[in-house]
Amino acid sequence: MDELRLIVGAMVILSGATALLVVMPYLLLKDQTPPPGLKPYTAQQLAGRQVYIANGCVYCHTQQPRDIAQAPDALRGWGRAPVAADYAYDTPHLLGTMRTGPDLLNIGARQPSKDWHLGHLYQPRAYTPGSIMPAYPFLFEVRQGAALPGDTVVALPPAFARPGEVVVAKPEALDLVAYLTGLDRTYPALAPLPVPTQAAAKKAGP
Amino acid sequence: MGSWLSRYFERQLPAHFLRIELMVALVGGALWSAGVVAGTVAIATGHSDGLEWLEYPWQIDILLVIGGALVGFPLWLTLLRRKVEHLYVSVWYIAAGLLWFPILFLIANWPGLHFGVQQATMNWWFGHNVLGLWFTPLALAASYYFIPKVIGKPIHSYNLSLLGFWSLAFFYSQVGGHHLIGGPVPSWLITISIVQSMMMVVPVFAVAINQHLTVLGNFRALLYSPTLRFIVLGGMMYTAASVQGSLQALRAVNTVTHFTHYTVAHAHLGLYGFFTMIMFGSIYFIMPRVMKWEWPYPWMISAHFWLVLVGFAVYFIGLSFGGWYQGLAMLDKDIPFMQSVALTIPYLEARSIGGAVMTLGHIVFATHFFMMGWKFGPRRLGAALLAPQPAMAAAGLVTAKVVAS
Repeated sequence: MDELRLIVGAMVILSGATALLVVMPYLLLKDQTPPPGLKPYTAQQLAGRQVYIANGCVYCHTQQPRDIAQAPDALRGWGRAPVAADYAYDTPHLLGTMRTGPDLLNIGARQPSKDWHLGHLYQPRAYTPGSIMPAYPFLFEVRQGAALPGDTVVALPPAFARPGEVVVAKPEALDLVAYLTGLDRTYPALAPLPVPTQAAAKKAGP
Repeated sequence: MGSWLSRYFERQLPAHFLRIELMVALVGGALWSAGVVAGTVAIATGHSDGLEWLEYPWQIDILLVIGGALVGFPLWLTLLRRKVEHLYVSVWYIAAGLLWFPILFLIANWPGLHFGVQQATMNWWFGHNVLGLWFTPLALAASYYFIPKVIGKPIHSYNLSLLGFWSLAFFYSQVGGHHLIGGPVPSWLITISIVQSMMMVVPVFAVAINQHLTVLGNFRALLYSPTLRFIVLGGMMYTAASVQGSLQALRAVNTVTHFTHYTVAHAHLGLYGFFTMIMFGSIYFIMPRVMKWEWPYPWMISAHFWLVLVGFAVYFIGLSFGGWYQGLAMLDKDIPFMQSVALTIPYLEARSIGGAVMTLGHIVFATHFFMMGWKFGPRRLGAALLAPQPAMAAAGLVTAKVVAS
């Protein structure tokens, strides 16, 4: 084998694979419009998405419930099987590959409470016994005495709160919770069918 | 084209050109290492691109693209100026790998190009191509070189290596979609990837037959040659990881293993069991020749081998069982999700223990490496072997110069 055959063969094969797995999906998906039920992320939610990425949440949480025919994800309250348009605003994508923790694509619908999320990020085991999720104390500030005006105080369960101390959420924590509570793809995946008109119904017959 | 270019280079370029080539490769290596350090620091400090396998920020990726291309450049120049007719298998793999990687990495990291689900398909096109068209070719090149070299016997079949090379390139480059089974991507894409994943048995068996038939009849060499011991084991793990990977791509199996620790165990069988083991073996052969000083203490090579082997066995077996049970629990609607978390804990502890033993092995290896660099230990006439080489032992020439290492 000489170098000319090697270089041509290697490039042809790579181009073929790239056409199939990169270019074709690009052409198929580039003109897709976001579903009407999906709102773009707010600036705060986008900042929270960066906190999600920086802390590696994607290594333990997926954002792609499987279809009920394949796995009982919907029965766990994780939502319907997603379609490509559900991710119209997701760059970088955070589909994930691992479920050390539950799927989060619809966590905002399942658990809309901001207080729950803040407390859970501060100490997961205060809300979910047996959880192996790490705590994120560095997203919070623990202060002696009373909270200052404008502080968001974390409402911990009594067993986990220490007297004379307040746990205040830092902006990163608030951004992350804004992102998590905004994760909601419970709207229908397909656009509703048009309402039948009299004329068309007559033409089609009974 | 090749001969015309080679004549051009011979006439136009002076003898010190070789030294310039060396400099180019060294600069490439330095840029690459700088990129790896910077990228790792970036991940640890939260500056990640957010994609698995593509975490390094794109600004740092520039270092890897340029560094990789600079390392490949002198290799391609050497090919163009060569005087021999035939190229050995190892050269095909390394030359193609050094060409593939910069292209893959550049397309994958191009800022602002990819979006949403398209980015997910690109992510796994890259994720599996970086294994199939970068890590695997480098490790196969090393094993195709060192096995015949140490044993002193040519490779079993030229035609099999030809089949192995081209079928690896063709099938491996299209398997990425099997990471998205059950995901929001077109079915045709996933089905193509599953078919090509099964077709991977062709290159895998071509390589396995070729390499293992070369070793056949020389298994005693594994007793004394550190290089061969690591590389032959790595080659066996390649076969195991690839066959496992083909089966795991089937929808029925993937439904259980996807999203579980089973996949993590499989990934380590490939990247650690296969790639890293072969690199350890290669380092044991190459470094004494570069440093002009043999490995000082063969017992440390032995300790390194057994620590990483036992540690990895605990790690892999633990995570595979834990992941499989986790997958079954997640598929059972009557089992609460938290139970699928709780049942993995003993297996995750096995992972920690196995990983710690592997780390200990790495510390032994690193210590030994620096001891060699600083020329510790006795001055050896021959290679540092794990046991006396049979023929030499019979002649009472244990310390004589031998090719094997």
